[in-house]
Parts: sequence; structure tokens; C-alpha cells
Amino acid sequence: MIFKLVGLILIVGAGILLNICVGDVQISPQIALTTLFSPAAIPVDQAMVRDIIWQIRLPRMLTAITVGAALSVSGYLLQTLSKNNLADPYLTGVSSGAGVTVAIALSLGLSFSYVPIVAFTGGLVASLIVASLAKIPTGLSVTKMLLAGIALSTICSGIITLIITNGADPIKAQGIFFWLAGGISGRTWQELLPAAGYTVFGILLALVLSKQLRLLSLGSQQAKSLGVNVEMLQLVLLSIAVLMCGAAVSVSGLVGFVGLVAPHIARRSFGRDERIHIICTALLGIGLVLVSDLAARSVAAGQELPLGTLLSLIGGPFFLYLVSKQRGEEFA
Amino acid sequence: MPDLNDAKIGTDTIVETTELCVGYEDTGNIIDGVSIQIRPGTITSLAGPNGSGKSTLLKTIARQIKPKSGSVRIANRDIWSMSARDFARECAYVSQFFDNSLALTVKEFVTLGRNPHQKWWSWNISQEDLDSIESAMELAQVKSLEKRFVANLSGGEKQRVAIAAALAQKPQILLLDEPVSSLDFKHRINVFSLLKKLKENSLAIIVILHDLTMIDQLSDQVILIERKEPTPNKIASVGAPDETLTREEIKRIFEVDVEILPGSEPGQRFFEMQFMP
Repeated sequence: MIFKLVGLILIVGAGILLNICVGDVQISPQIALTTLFSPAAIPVDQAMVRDIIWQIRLPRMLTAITVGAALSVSGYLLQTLSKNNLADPYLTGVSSGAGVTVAIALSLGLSFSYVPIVAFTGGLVASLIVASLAKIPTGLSVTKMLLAGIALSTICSGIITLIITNGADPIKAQGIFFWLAGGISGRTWQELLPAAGYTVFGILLALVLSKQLRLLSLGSQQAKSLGVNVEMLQLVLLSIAVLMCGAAVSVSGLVGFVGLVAPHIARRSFGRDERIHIICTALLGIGLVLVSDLAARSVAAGQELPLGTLLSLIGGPFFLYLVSKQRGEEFA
Repeated sequence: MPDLNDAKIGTDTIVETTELCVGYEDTGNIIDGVSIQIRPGTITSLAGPNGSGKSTLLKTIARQIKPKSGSVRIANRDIWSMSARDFARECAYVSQFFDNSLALTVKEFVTLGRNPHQKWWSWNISQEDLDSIESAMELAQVKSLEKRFVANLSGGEKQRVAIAAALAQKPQILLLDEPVSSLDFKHRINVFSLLKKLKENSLAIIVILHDLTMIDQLSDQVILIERKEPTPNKIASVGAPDETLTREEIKRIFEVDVEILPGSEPGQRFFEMQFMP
């Protein structure tokens, strides 16, 4: 497992460096590293490179890291909560709920610093709607949860289309459209920092609660008899998951399947310890988004695909594969 | 056999329910008017036909279900005024269905029994934790399974693992819902002697059993629950086995005829089912 972990860290490290170096302007890794760690040593004629790195590439790379970590750990928590590995922020409607409120807020011209909070509110409302629809006496029905999530997502995307088509300002509408498709280019430090802060907070809290996660995975009856305040724990975990999902949505719009793929691989390949699961889930999510973002901007020169589009092309088939693996009606 | 009428007035009652009424939203009241007392160092059996509400009553005492009215008190505190954690230090519950597809080893699972005694965020295992885990695994005879995955065990092995986790909690009260239902004869007898040993360590044990002979030989107190149509079900009688488990009462409550045969030791009885055409 140690080798896998080192491999994973190397992939993430390489992804970080490549994300800074690769683009319309190619930057050598050496200059990239010098710019990052000793900006004063950069020759004057390389000032443009410095600005590209600090104002464009670095925020973008950190956005990718935030989105990857937030969505994957959010998915991990939702999977533990629903006791099913098909749960993910995108499929359960949490992302869409956050997306709608952000679209409304942006079309109304709300300041970007409120966007993570707005996204959190929308995501929370969506998750509570889905949870209440999927509630059965023994917990949450996965079939109902996924169906409710899909229906809610459809409703939300309808509302978003309405906002885009009826928006008076076409430039604003196009911005919403690109943001929604999961574009992470052009994020500024001001937009990134709140989302990154919520994500770090969420992951730390998830780590603190890791033993409780293990207890909860025994089932609520067993967890209760071992002294867990199950209802409270579920609410806290849901809030953390939604907070991180909201943070991701606020900077990247609707990016699907990271929260599905990363936790699945972490559980399969990195032992049984929930702390390691959380860390590896985050690293895998980061790696996935970094690589996808590299691909998104390298597919066609001078053009780029929205991140969400690319990840749907990777994650969709993976989801279908998981569905084919599931046994029984309840996706047990 | 101790005089169990004392339990009703005893000052050392550890579990006490008062006029308990339990039901779910969609089923109406399942059981009503339950007032019982349990003393430390005794085994109390809940017996009654299927659907009489034994498990529901046990779950209510285990703080899994909130009663509609009435109260459950342990050591004179209402269980719903305690935190889940405080409660779990006093009382352990082994449910009937131990369905676990978790990827945890037996030892990792039994370790979770220490949760009520540990800091909720900490994975640290103290020496005291280790001792409790080891002795719990030995008592429940799962030590040899400690490295195996719970998901791969047989039903009976899982049942013993669940008992081990409950023992690691070091409770004062142990609630067991059909703990021997999927055990073979050897392990039934082992659980039987384990419960007696725990009782000597002054645990209060409440257990749901079906085997009348086992109930008779194990229990200090028997609570017979009668099925009523329509519900709620009621307690038919509470008392020592020789008072409650009579041929007439068994026929009335379980609707079967039993023959009670004396055993070789004084007071020992065997319940022989009469198979009627």
C-alpha cells in the first residue's frame, strides 16, 4: 500500500507541475519552480511568465485541487451516509441544488464572495429534499435517492436554462453557462480562497470524525448501541458533505463523477482505515481533476473543453460499470 | 433459586420500566403497560410467541426506540436524559440480526465496542481497552477468529462476535435478542455458561430465548408476554421460572401442549413439546 500511496503522491505532484507548465504559453519546469519558490530570482524579462504563473496558472491549479478534494471527500461522506457506493454529490442532486442558487445569485449580480454560502444553502435544501423523499423505515432507499436526485437535477437544469435564456445580459448568461459546464479557467484568488477554506475545514472535520464514520458504517442500530448519537452525526456529516460540494460548485459549476470514482478507488486499493481513505480519496480526486484539466486544455490548441464535460465522459462509463456490478433491486 | 418477589421492592434495582407503552407510527401500540424491575446479578428472560413484542420491548430498553409513554430508568436515571455515550457505558445491546458485510476484522470490530469509553475523535487504544478487548474475545470464544473478516463468518460466528463487542463495552446491563438462535449445540451451551458467569460478576442480563428448558434453567426471572388481538400486547406474568412456566400458562400463551419432566438434579425440569396432529 505504501508504494501505491507514493505513486499517488507522485502523480499528484506531476499533475501540479504540469498544470503550471502546460498551456498556450509553455513554461519550463525549472522556471516554474523558481517563480514559485523564489520569485525575486526571476529575471526582469521573464516578468510575463511570473504573472502568468501567479495570476492565471496558480489560481487555476489550486481551483482544480480544491474541486478535486472537495467533490471526492464529499462523495466519500455521502457514500458512507447512504451506505452505498453509487452516491455522489452530482447524482444525488446536491450539486444541482447548489448550481441553481448560484445561477440565480450570479444573474442577480451578487458578489462572488457570497457564492460558496449560496451554494451551500442550495445544496443543503436539495439534499434534505432528496433525503426526505428517499427515507424508508430502515434508513435511505438508494433507488429512491438516485431517482429523486436525478429528477431534482432535471428540474434544476430546467430552471438554470430559464435563467440563462431569459437573462437580459448575454455576456453574463454565457459566463453562467461556462461556469455551469464545469469550467475552472479564469478563477481569481478572491473566488478561490473561500472555497479552498471551506474544503480544508471540511476535510479536517471529516478526519476528526473518521472513527465515528467507521461506527456509522456498522448501521445505525449498531452505532447507537455503541454510544453514537446517530441523528446528530448524520446531520453533521451531511452538512460537511454539502459544504464541500457547495464550495466546489461555487468555483467550478457542475462537475460530476469525481465524488463517485475517487472514493471507490480509495476503498478498493487503500486498506480499511477511514483516515487513509479520506486522505487517499482527496488525493485521487485532486489527481483526477488535475489530469482532466490538463486534458481539457490540451485537446484542441487555443480552445478548451469545460472540465465537467470531460469528467462526464470519464465518469459516466464508470458509473454504468458500477451499476452493472450491483446486485439486486436495492443496489445493496 | 432466589426469591424474585424481592425484585419488585428491591432497592438495588438497576433497570426499571414504568407503564411503558411502545409503538410505531404505522402499527399502533405494540406493547403497553410494561412495568418491570431488574436487579444486578440476575438473568431475566423475555418469552412469548412471535409478534408478541419481545424484541420491541428489548429495543426500547436498549434506547433504540423511544417509548410513546412511560419510562425506562437505569440506576435511577431516565435513559433518554442520558447521552448515547453515557448509556452505552452502562448498557450493551446485541440485536437479533447481525448482518454485516463490513470489511473489518473481528478484532477491529470488537475494538469498536470500546467506543463509549474512548474519546470520540481518538483512535488511540489504551492498555485498559486492549485488556477488555482480549478478555471479551476470549469469553465469547472468538479469539481464534480475530484476524478473519466479519463479513466472511458464519451466522453463529457473527453472533459470537457481536456478543464479544458488547462485552468489550464493559456494561452493567447486557441485552441479548435471541443470542443462540443460529448457534450449534456446543456454542449454545458455551453462551449458556458465559451468561451464568457474567451474572456472577453482577451483570444484569435480559435475554430473549425460545427454548423453554433453557429459559427455565438459566433465568432468575421470566417475563411472559401474551399476544393480544388487537394489539397492544400485555405482560401475562412475571416471576421465577417455576411460577411462570407452568403447563397451563404455556398452553394459554404459546398455544402448545408441553410435558414437563423432572431432571436428575433437584429443581431441574425439561419441557417436552407434544406434537399434536
